[in-house]
Amino acid sequence: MTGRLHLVPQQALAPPRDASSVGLLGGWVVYPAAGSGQRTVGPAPEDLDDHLARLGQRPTARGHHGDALVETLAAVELTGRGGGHFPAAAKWRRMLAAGGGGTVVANAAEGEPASAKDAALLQHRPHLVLDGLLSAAEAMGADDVVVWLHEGAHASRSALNRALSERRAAFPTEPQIRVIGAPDRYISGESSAIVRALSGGPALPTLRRRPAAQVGVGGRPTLVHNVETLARVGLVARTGHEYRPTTLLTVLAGGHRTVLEVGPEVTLGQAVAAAGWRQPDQPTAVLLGGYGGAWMGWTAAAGLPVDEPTVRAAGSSLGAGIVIPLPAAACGLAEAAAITRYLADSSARQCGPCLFGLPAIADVLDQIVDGSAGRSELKVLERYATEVSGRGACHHPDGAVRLVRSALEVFRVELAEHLRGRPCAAAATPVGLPGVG
Amino acid sequence: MRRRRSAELARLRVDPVLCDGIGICAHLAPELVRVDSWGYPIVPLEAIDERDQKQAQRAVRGCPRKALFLEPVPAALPSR
Repeated sequence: MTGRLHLVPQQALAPPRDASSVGLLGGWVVYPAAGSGQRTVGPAPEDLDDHLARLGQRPTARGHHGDALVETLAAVELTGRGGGHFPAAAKWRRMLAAGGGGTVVANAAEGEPASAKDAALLQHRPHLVLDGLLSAAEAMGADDVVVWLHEGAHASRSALNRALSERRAAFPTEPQIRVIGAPDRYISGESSAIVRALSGGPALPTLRRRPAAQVGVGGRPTLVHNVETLARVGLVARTGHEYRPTTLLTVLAGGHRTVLEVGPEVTLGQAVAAAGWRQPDQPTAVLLGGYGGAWMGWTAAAGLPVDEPTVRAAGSSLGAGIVIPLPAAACGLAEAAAITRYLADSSARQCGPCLFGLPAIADVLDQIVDGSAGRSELKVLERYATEVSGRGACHHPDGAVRLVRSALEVFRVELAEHLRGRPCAAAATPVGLPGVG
Repeated sequence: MRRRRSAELARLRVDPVLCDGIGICAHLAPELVRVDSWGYPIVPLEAIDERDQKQAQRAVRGCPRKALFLEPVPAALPSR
């Protein structure tokens, strides 16, 4: 790509017309802002008949079929789509090496309020998610199969319940799937919190001395996968090496969240335009990976392909695929401060550095935003960030630090003005990101 | 805990869920443990030197929350 990056691509992206194609979602889903009174728009929810007509029966993953599936997952380099992008096959092999059995969990507790791709999958392609879950359970020899879903996720729950009753009627010999309600908190989707909750404890993170694949629920090997990862397992089990790696993005633009599935031939700029960026000006920056992710300047980000390895090589990550462009009129530091406060409030309040450090960081950021902090306060902020980093049982504080550090770097020109007591005009009025207010 | 053989590398770790920031560890192992702005212990990432082993074990035994522990360092990781 050469020259100036144009926001509107020459060939505008559009949702695929042929919903029967072998894709993950088969269309885009638009979630309107809460309280807007508008309806969710997307492809028709796929019932079991449609699912089977499109993709055929789920191939068995028992015995050597399971071993073959692990090899295929390794060959197509499937990585975890909860945000970590850890190789799925490595988890499976670790669990098999620990003797298998135990529990397999579909993690549908999408805690990040800006994200919607897991909800989109459960609501529009529930059988593909369940196929992947059952294939994983078969390959691991698991006897406990769980979907972990927020209590308040009503639309996803009813889609899931409908799909499960269809399956019980059509495939009475399939393993029982337990649907377990997670507390409606950001942190409930953290995998050590899931293992702790399913073992009878509170749904709060723990320090893991050994991986869940070795010692998980009830001390037995446990595989926890994000629902998108499992939907991809459901596809890979059928397509084998023909599997086409795509990315599910949730783009926050035009006041709504658009879930779209794109390949690496699409740039972030094209995806943002396609998701309905309606501002007259281009964004100034974009938050990649959601609230625990990292800001990137728009000129650097717009031309990047939607492809995790390429984005990693550029020093960032798509995480769970959340893309939040920043309007030109907004103050990035004010947005970062509001998100940091949200993350501080979302702490499980178990670990001192997170419980005390995140509010302390948010306090200094607030002072920077309103122009009352100078260079010495910035030094304190940097010390807090270093002290908090890597010191929680889970990675929640690390995500907050990543967000803050990237904001200080990407918005350094604005930061210098704030530190001189001249905050941006928009500093007092953050845009009101989902859940953040 | 039995005395570790010197060939066995270990590092200090804190379980931050159990830790209440009481700070006894920083007194018992002042060369290994420092405290952050809120009084919670920061321990070195590297394996403990042989000469610091006693100090480390004292801090582990002295923790009233049993939040401090010694974790074997995988041989593949550099010890310093």
